[in-house]
Amino acid sequence: MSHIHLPDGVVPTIWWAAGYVISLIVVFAVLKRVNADKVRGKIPEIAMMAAVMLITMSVPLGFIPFHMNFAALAGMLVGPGLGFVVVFVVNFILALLGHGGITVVGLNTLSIGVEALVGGIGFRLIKVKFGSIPSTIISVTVALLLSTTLMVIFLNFIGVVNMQSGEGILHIESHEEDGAGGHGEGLHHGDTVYSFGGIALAGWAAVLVVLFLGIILESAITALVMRFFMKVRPDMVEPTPHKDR
Amino acid sequence: MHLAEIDRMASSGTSLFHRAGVFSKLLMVLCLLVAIMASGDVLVLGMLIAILLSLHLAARVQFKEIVHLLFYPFFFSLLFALMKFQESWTSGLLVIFKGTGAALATLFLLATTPWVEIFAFLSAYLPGLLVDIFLFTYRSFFILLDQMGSLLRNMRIRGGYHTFNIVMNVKNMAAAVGLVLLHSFEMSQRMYRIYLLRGYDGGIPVARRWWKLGYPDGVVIALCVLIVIGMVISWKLL
Repeated sequence: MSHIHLPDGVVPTIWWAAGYVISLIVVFAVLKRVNADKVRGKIPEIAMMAAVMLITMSVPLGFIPFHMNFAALAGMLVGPGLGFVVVFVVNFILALLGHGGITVVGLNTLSIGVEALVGGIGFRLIKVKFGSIPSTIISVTVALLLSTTLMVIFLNFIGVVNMQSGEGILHIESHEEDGAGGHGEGLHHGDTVYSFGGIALAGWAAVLVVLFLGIILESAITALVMRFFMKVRPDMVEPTPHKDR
Repeated sequence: MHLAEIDRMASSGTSLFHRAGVFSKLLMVLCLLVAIMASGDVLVLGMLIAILLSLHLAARVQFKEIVHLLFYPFFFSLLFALMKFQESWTSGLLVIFKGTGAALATLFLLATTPWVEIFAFLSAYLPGLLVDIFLFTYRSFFILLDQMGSLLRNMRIRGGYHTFNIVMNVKNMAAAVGLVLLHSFEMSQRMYRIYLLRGYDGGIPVARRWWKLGYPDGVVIALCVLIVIGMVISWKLL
């Protein structure tokens, strides 16, 4: 859910260049570390996960300014490292189609890649103790909270959002189809108002509501998808002992 | 997300730009992107966007699809431009022009070049595994889209979707995602085995010689040179 929808020309060059360099280093390191022959057999699985992410990241949910990423699900199903590679591939294709700037692909990969890494690693670490479904919910929640926090801190650092008021954060995640916007009584001039039913919210209140709803929704759907896999194809969820995932 | 329409445009187009090689088109798009990113002048950016629109026109692309895809970068640029408009109108326009111009440049490449050709070119420089993931993601996308379309239709027909019953929708959607993922995964595996049977062993064998340039490549490279010269002259003049 922490997809940076910044157009090209907004993020200073030094930052997006650094984002590209770091994400490419991670991608190449992952690809170098894995056994290419073993991973080649998993390409249909990896590619299908990327295709799922491509579709879900292109479809805003409508009632809240948010879209799901399923990056944590990718980390759980194909492994944290390869999940990060999937995130890079998806961001690159989306950027070519104008969804997020081409210059922010690196930063988006790092931001969403954290979800795949934390989601994948967290799930494997706590799965034995808590079971598949609670582990999924905990891992996805932690992954989404962490990646969104990192994204907000970074965007505040470069001056794109205001962390004091929360203004601008939902701009990064909102979509044209959401119907967000407008002004309500008692709100500061310049605040963007988001309506949830009959309630109008702005600033951090709106951010927290969207974040809360987004995390619940993505965690719930990921958990239900994992439950389905556990019933039908548990071999896809069970971690493999070798390092190639 | 218009990937199918863009793919059709790229594969069925017959314009000069469709006939040009990947190398020359990538070079031109790179020149345009650098020019858009480096420019801080509204007039220069306006000119670059005008050039890009002319290129789209010359390539006879379907403007309906391009305009729809441009809505995303335009909308998000506008959000940031609204903040910048408080400084000056040129600062706001700069944000809009940069965001929209960069998207126009990448869309031009995609609308005139089939994905497989781009992947084939990249396979010479990127790790084979990464190119394979790109290629199979692209193939899987169409399998998944097809599966998703028929499953959602079936769900609606059988009463699995209710506008106001969010809990049931979420539950059914999760099962649908799982089912589609599993089914598409099996289809993708089958496709991969067919690829292996036909001799596929990773990467895309490049049969075309990139250095062999034709008349369309000459025109595209000349355009690159003109863009670079135009940018340099404007820097010296202003």
